[in-house]
Parts: sequence; C-alpha cells; structure tokens
Amino acid sequence: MNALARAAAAEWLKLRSVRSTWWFAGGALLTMLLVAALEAKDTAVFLRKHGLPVEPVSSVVEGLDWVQLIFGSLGMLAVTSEYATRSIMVTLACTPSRTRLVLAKVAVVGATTFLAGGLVSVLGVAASAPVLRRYWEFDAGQVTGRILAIAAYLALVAVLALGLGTLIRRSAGALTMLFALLYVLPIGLQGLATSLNAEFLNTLAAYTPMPVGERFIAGEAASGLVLTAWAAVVVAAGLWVMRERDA
Amino acid sequence: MITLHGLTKRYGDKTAVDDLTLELTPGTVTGFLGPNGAGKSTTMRMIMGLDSPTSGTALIGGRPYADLDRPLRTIGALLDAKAVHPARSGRDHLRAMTVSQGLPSSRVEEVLALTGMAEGARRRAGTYSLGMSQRLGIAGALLGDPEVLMLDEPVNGLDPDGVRWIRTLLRSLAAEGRTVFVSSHLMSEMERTADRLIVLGKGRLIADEPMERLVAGSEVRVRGPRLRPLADVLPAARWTGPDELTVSGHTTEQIGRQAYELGLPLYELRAVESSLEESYMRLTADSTEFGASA
Repeated sequence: MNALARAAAAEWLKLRSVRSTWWFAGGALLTMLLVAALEAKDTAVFLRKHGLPVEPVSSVVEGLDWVQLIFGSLGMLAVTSEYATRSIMVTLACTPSRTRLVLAKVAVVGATTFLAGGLVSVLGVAASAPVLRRYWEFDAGQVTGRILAIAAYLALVAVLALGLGTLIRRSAGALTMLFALLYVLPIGLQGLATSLNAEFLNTLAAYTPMPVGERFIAGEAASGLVLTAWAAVVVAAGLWVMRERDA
Repeated sequence: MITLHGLTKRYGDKTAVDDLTLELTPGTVTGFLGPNGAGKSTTMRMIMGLDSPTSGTALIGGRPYADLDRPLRTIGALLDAKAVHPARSGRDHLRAMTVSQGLPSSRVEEVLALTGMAEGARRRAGTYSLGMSQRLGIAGALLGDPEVLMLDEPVNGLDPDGVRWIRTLLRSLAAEGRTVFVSSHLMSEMERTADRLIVLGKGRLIADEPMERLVAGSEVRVRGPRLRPLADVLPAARWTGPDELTVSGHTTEQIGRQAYELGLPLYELRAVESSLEESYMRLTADSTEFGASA
C-alpha cells in the first residue's frame, strides 16, 4: 500500500471506531425518513399548484435542508474532534505530510458520505412513495441520476465542512461558518441586492453552495462543478493553514 | 539518533527554545530536565514536526520528521498521554496507528501485552486513569519497534510499580542500542534511569553532562560556632545554616587544617555527595539569575 492509501485506511478505521459516527448516520436516516414521509403530500400539492413536475425525489429534496447539516457535522468532526482531543498529535506523528493527511480525510469522508447519502435518499424515496406515487411521474433513469446527484451534493457539503474544520479547528466556529455559508450568505446577498438595488448581488447569491446544489440536483452538471470548486477552495485554504500553523 | 542544530522557537518576543544544539546517541538514556516552561515540550514538538522552528533544524537519523515515510518505525514518541479520542477504545486507537504505518496487526497485541493493557484496551480511552493512558501512550510509542524513543514525562500518574516498570523498560531499550530521550521533573527518577542529563532553563541549554559528573560534585559540610573567618578565606563556601557552611572544591583535610590555623572550633566536618536534585536546583537557579541580568 502506498502512503496515501495507508493514511486513508487509518482514517476509515478511526471514523468507524467512534460511536458518534453511527449516531450521525442513524440521525440523518431518521430525519430523512420523517421529513420525506411527512412532507410528501404538501410538496406534491405545492409543485402541482405551480405547474411543476412531481418527481420521486421531490420530498427527499425537502429533507436535504435538514440532513445536510448532519452530513456537514460528520465531515467537520473528522478534523475538529482531533484538535479538541489533541489526538491530532498522534495523527500527525503517523502521517506527517499535511497534504497527504487532508487528502486521506477528504477521500474517506467523501466516499462514506456519498454512499450514506445515496442510501439515505433511496430510503427517503421509499418512505415518501406511499403518498407521492399518486402524483409522480416515474422514470428509472432520471431517478437514478437524481439520487447520484443528491449523494454527491451531500458528500461535497461534508467535504466543504471538513475544509472549514481544518481552517478553523474548533467545532463551534466551523459549524457556524457552515451554517452561514449555506443559509445566511444567499439570503443576505439577496437582501443586500434589494436594498442597494444591485442586481449582480443576486447573481452572486445564486452561486453560493446551496442554490448551486439545488440546480445541480435538478440536473445542471455545470453547477456540480461550481459546488466542487467551493469545496476545493475551502479545503485548500484549510490545508494551507494546517501547513503554516503549529499543530 | 536525534540531532538538533541551533534549534530556536520564538513566540513574538518570547523565546521558548534558544539556539539548542545537541546530539542524542544510541544506547543511552538521555534525561531532559528543566523547570516548567523551560522549553522541553516545545523542543520535543519540534523534533516531531508538530511545531516548526523559528530557526535551526531537528533531524532524526539525519532526516527531518516530515521526510520519514513510516515515521513510527524510526521514532516512537509519547508527548501527551491524554491526546486520545475518548470515545475510541485503546485497541482501535493503536490499530489505526498500525494501519497507517503498514505494520502487521499482530503488533497491537504485542505492545498491549508488553504494557499490561491487553484487558484495558477494550474499554473506551475516556474511561482510563492517567496511569492507563500513559501505558497506552507507551504502547503506541513502541508500536513500530523504533530505534529512537522520545517520552515526555512518562512516569506521570504511574503508581510505584509502574514507575519501576518504566525504569526497567527504558534501561532495557537503551541496552538494545536504542536512543532513549525522556523528560521528567522528577530528579530522583532521572538519577536512577538516565546515563546522561540535559538541563534546560528558559529555553537555553544549561548543562549537558554524564550522570556521574552531575551527581559526583562532592562538597564538604562544616558546622561550628564561629565560622565567619573560615568563610572569608574560602570563596567557594556558602552559608547553608546559621552555623553551617557548605564548601565545594575542597577536601575535608584542607578545610580541617584551615580551621586549625584560624583557631576555630568545629562541631562537624564531613564530605557530602550532592544529590542530583541539589545540582539541578543550583543549575536552574543560576539560569534564572542569568536570565534576569541579561
């Protein structure tokens, strides 16, 4: 095994050997099942009323607003829990290359959250199906594409949060930043656009992670690249800080 | 082998480690002593590449820590026994380390048996006593069967059995030809464990001596009712009580004859071996004075 693969194997072992990982996974699943089942009817009626197509993932997309923060927390904790417990010292003793360590964490968190995200959305579709199937138009190819995009979205949010965790090192600060980036930034920019009468701020708001993610899930591949760029830039900034600052 | 060359760490205008140049050799236990804040832990963190030096280098077997491919096979370190995720079992903590170094998983059971942690390692590390954490940390340091061992305060929190165990372990690791670098504030422990002592004060190297020489600096204790004339003729004498002088660099014969010539009655005249603790206090007191006048 090369050095990166060894570091990734260690990260995977660490991720699955703490109970909180499984609590997060269970929490995300339960949240998604509840929201998808309970929101199914309202979502379908709302979409119908506005002449929009009802898809099998429509209710799951509603659930993402809630579930993405759990995925983000999981990604962030892969770094911040190590600073909080000082076990980062042991991790860096084993893998002194900061670049290799961050890449290993990104790979493990990305792959895990992608698979978990896919599973959560498939089960979410199943949970909403009893109500939603009276409204939806089912296209197996389209559903598969949507679910893959949702899984990728959740994985990218988790990696973005991992980058914030590397940048800020503390859970509270990183989580606040994640919340601000996802929810506050687009609304704030839109508000500013109205009060300053500056249209370009609306355009800017449309390129923040969540609106970009919505368009990506709706089938816009280019938006997926913008979201990937967000995650890549934040991770790169975190890596830079990790290399410059003492552990 | 660990080589430090001009190693310096500054935080703003405060110098934590000041131009440290040292070579730690295989087959010896080198003790690292100094008061709190002397820069011992910072030095060890720089050797591990956790903190980057302001200037100077720290090399392990001629290479900086970051250049080691499987570092734990070269150097095993215990810097902070509590630096373990409390929700992870001791065994899983070691397994992750093993995987990262490409070591066989059998090493985990070997080091757990060696440190007496085979039972405890099943539990979550957050439930450990300080002594158990120290044992887990030492197990981690031994994992890669490294030629260099670096331990920061390893006897902290250990019971007398544990202290004796550490002493025997460190001696046997050095006897196998390994480089052992161990910090402690327990002078008495160092006296029985180390071959060589490095004393740090305010970030500066203030002594680097073989153990015998630091301990052997013998002194003479003189007690009598009217010692002032004796103190006046012996510049090396210092008052250690109202009627007691301690003189270094002289034999009891020289001082006895001197007292006879001055016509002074003596109640007591004896040679004392200064303990390491006394030497240490003297050395670090000097460094404080030096630091204040500088």
